[in-house]
Amino acid sequence: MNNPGRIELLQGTLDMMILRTLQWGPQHGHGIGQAIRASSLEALQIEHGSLYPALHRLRKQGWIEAEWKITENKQRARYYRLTARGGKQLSAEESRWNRMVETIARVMKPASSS
Amino acid sequence: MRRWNQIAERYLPWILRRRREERELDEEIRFHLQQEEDLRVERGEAPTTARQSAHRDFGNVTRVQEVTREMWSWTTFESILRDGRYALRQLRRAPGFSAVAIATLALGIGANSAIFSVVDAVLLKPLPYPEAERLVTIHEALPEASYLNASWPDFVDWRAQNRVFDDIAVFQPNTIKVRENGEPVMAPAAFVSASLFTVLETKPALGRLLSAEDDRAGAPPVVVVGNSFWRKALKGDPDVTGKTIEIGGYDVTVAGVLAPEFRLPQVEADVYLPIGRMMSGSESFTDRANHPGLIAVARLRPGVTLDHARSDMNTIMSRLALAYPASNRHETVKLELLPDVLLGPIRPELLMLFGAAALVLLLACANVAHLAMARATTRQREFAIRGSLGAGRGRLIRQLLTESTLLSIGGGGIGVLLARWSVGPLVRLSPYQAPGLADAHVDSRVLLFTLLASLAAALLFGCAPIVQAAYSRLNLSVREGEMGRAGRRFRSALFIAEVAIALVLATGAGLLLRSVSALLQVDPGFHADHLTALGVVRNGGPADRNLQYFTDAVDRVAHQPGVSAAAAVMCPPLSGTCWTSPYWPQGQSGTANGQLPWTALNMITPGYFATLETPLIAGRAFMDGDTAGSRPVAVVNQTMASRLAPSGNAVGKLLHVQYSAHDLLEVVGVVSDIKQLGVGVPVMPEVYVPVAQMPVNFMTVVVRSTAASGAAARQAAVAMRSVDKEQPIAQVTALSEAILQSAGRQRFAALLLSLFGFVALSLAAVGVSGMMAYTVTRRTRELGIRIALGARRSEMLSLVLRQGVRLVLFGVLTGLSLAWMLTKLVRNLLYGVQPHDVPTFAGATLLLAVCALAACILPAWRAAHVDPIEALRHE
Repeated sequence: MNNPGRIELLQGTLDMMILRTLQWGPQHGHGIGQAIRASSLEALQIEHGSLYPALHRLRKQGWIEAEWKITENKQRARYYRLTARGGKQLSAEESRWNRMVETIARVMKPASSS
Repeated sequence: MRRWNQIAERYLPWILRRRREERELDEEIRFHLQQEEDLRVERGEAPTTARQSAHRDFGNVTRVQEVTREMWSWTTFESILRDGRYALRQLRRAPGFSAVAIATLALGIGANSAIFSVVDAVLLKPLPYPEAERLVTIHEALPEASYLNASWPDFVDWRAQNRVFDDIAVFQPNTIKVRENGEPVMAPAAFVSASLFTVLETKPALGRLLSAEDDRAGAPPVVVVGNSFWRKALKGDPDVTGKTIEIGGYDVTVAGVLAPEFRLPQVEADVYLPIGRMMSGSESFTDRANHPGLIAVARLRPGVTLDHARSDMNTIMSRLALAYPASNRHETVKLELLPDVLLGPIRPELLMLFGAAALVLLLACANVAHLAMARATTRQREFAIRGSLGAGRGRLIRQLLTESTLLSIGGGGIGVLLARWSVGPLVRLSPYQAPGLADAHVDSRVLLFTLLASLAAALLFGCAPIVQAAYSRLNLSVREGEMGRAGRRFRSALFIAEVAIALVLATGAGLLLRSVSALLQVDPGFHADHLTALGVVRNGGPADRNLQYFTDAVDRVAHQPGVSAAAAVMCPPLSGTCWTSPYWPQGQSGTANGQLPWTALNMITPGYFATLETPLIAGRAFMDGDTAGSRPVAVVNQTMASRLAPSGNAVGKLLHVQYSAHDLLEVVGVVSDIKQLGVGVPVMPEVYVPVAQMPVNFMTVVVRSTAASGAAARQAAVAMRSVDKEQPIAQVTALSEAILQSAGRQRFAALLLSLFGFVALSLAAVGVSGMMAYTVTRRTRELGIRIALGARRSEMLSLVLRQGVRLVLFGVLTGLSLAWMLTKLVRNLLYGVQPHDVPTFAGATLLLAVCALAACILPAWRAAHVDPIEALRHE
């Protein structure tokens, strides 16, 4: 957390990944973290705590909603759900991300195209 | 109470919601940690390590909570509230620190608020005249007399010929007999041209003001009265207009009552009489060469500049000089903006005092800054812990600033009380004549100023611990007692600043005290002790009856028990010069007064010099034999004598004094110079003539009595009343009081600067002592080791003292150079002493150095007596 450049990069992408995870259905904070870790094949080691500021930020933007529910293990947990606006935001970010990845790839591998 | 309910209603749901959010976040995080732990146990980790790694993976819980909370929109207000609560708790935990800081700030802020209420009332609030920046005063000047009041025929011509003014007005301050509850009393009056009220754009509270018709010779007599006179003497009668009251022995119809806020520039008046009706036929008004005390004010037409008005008026003056060379040759006019005339002399002095007060506040800030720094160092552990718990650097800074602000607001609150309590005495002591001064009080503007000053102070001293922390990296070191070199340097700078500021104020105070003492040691030309003056104005009546009254009054007073001498004079010492006139010695030709020197002209009864105990240098004083019928004679002062006969004897010289009643006066005596204008003002030539040979209608009876001044005045008044019970006394002055008053500006400035200097010196001593004590405490361990290794106590003493001496030396040098630059600001107030007076600078330096070093002694002594065992155990 001491490197402001890393936080910025992380912040944008973390938001996107959370939204993506919630596309498959409502999930609580811990579950979201697990899902991201699992789908990245454990390659992304995010600090769990940093999920919560992000969740509250997204909630404030109106992209996700929160609701207290009882889990399968009969515990109370706060579940987050993607809103319609959140869905739109996700597709916008996805296309932006794709464009960025393509652009960077083009810059990084000019030799292969020639 | 209602307001609190409203606040609660508005914010209660918000607070409740807020609580719920906090609870839910806690629960969410707990759930997360639990889930993670369970997951890890499932995977086969031991329960204890599972819990630890769950926490490790999560990161800093406090920080997460804090960052998350900042996502919630209401966090700013809420966190200020929380900071405030926390700060209050911290301050309550250090009551000694808080009390000292608040008291110090209260002194500094209170001084500023008090001076600001005067500055605001006098300099910042507009003058009580609409568009005052268009008002100008006009006076005349001759080569030998730089300040002459307007002459009536000149005024009439200015009014008729100028193209730059809306209108011009004149007024003549006067005193007149009125009745209050049937008793005759003298009231301050103004004879005014009808145009005065239109020039000053004032409106009546009742009735009407003066018209051009009222202002003509032969018009029925009318008067306009001031609001306070109406309320006091006329009992606030709402139907007073049209009624008659007795003024100057005549029945006069009340035309109107002025608004409460109306004031004449520079003088007080209760009744306003039309000057044209009263005076236009009199000799002093028809003579163009006479300048009978008329003060002229005019209102510039919109868009006309002062320079334009000056050139237009001097065109008129050169026309008049051609038409009336005998009186007007070489005569010019001087125009000044009224605000400059009223405030010009006061502004620099008030601003200087304001600046001095600001220095005191600065010093107070330095002291509190030091206290706060000392405290912050001992709190480093607290900050470090909070920092490692995740409090951001910004949070800690905000916390420190919140504490500073609370202290400062507390100091400001007490400061306002101090100001409220001191504005009254301040105004009473101040020697200034300024509109608005009497109304100075702590109002909303002063409160706002105090608030701003408090916040500025909070920022000033609140930054000190932050700067220090920046140097010593507060949130990284949990170790106590270490501080960087830069932090020490900052502390030394504070020390030097304190000594320097105190020295500047002490020097200023020293210069003014020396001026006051020089002024009071000036020989005024008479013995003021036991001398009382009672002014009398005779309204009308034949000249011989007035002369008889004054002769009888003096005679009656002189025979009272305890009275050793009494006499009457037109213009008593230190009251100014009532009349001035061009003069020339016989034989020297002089036709146009433009080339003639001027002298003061004064009328006295025979015993005057004896009563004042003014030494006769040559010739004789007046005698009862100098009467209307005998040869016209004069006594001159020494200044005049040396002009008449630079090397010889002035007695026997013959002298023309233009405005005296006789063409040629023979000088029969020379007396010592008597200070007429003020103890600090050079004496001008003065010619005395016997009142029997030139009667006047206003004189002052001076009495030398063994009784106390109040009793002497009452006794004399009773005696004078027995001569004419209808004749009131205008004013009573103890001449020793008049001497003090003529040093009033210097005394006021000296008093305030001494007060500020004393406060500054005390604050500096406390601050310096505190700083040294703190340094010793910080070095206890080191000192202990040194002693344990065999250093002698005397070496310890000199070790600490050397450091103190070095800082005091730097402070003194800084202060001296600052004082060297700043004392020029008080130049106009100084008398008999130069702004760079070496003894004053030396004295102030000595005083300061002694105080500062004394403040270092105790800490140094403590350093020398450090117990090595204690010191080493300390850590």
